[in-house]
Amino acid sequence: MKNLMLLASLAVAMDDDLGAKASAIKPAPREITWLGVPWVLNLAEAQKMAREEKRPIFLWVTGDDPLERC
Amino acid sequence: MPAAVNLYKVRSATDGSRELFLSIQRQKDQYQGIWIVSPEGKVLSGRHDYKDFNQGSIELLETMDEGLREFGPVEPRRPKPANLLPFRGKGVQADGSVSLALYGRQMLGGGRNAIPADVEPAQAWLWDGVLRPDGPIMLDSLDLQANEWAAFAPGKLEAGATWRLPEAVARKLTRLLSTSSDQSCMPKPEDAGVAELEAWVESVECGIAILRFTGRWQMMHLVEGDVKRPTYGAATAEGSAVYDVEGKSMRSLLLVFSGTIRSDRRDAPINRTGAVAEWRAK
Repeated sequence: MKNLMLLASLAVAMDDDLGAKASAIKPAPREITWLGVPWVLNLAEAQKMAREEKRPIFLWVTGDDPLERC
Repeated sequence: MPAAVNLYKVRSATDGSRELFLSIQRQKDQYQGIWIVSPEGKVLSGRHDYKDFNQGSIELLETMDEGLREFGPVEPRRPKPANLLPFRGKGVQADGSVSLALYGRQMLGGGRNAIPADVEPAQAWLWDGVLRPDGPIMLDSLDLQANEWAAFAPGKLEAGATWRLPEAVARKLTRLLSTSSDQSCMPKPEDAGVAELEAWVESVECGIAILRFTGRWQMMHLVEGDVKRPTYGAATAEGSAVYDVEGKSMRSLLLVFSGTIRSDRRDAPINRTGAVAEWRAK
């Protein structure tokens, strides 16, 4: 299985042109640091945790699931 | 406490979230955006619009500072990093479905040899220079059911074998012709006038098949269904995938789109778009 994965990785890596185009489009790490935030996806649960930790809620609301589409 | 909430889901929640959200909206009336709220539900600050989008992060920090001034000092949180979307662009779910990770944005450059045939000469400068971003990133996910995902795999495992994916599958990728993440602006599968995706087996060696893809799309989308607000888009895509011959399963998929989009009028200036759909097994 390890050999299989290595071959697969090599095959993808060899496709430099396609990979370079994808890299130009995809987000730089600094553009998606917010995806690493441990967001609470339920408002009532966030309020419960905020009460326990005695801190305010940073509430982000959008017309879709904020982490899925933006 | 960072909370990220879907407006439509919170409005219909039955666990107390709805009542809290409606109270927050009554205190500071904004359709969506950011609110800083005390644990008791008191709105401390909020932001819907930005005076200068380029200074948006600074304006947001001002909103947070305003809320913290009202609330008082708090100790920094030390949370563990989280992966809230473990299946986005990765893995196969129990029912055989997958979720492709999508990215898109307006682009510039890439070379004039890549200019589509229908682009006016006055717009050729958009392809000058190296391929580079020209706008903020769009993130999305595209769910494919098991039968749709199976269409990406080859029926015949020998170099040179070709197949065409079902139009219904290609249509689902029409979303990648737009860099907007607003539902009213996003092209839907039914907006595609052309949606074609073909594939072939490039090689089969050492238990690995390398697959290649090529496709083209054209679409016309009416913003909010308004016939006076059409958006026209076209794109081509190229892609590759790694297929595990023995395991009879996909190991990775990468599709890269290059397109143009124009709004309102057929003769409006175009913008260039680039998009990526990707997935890996682990």
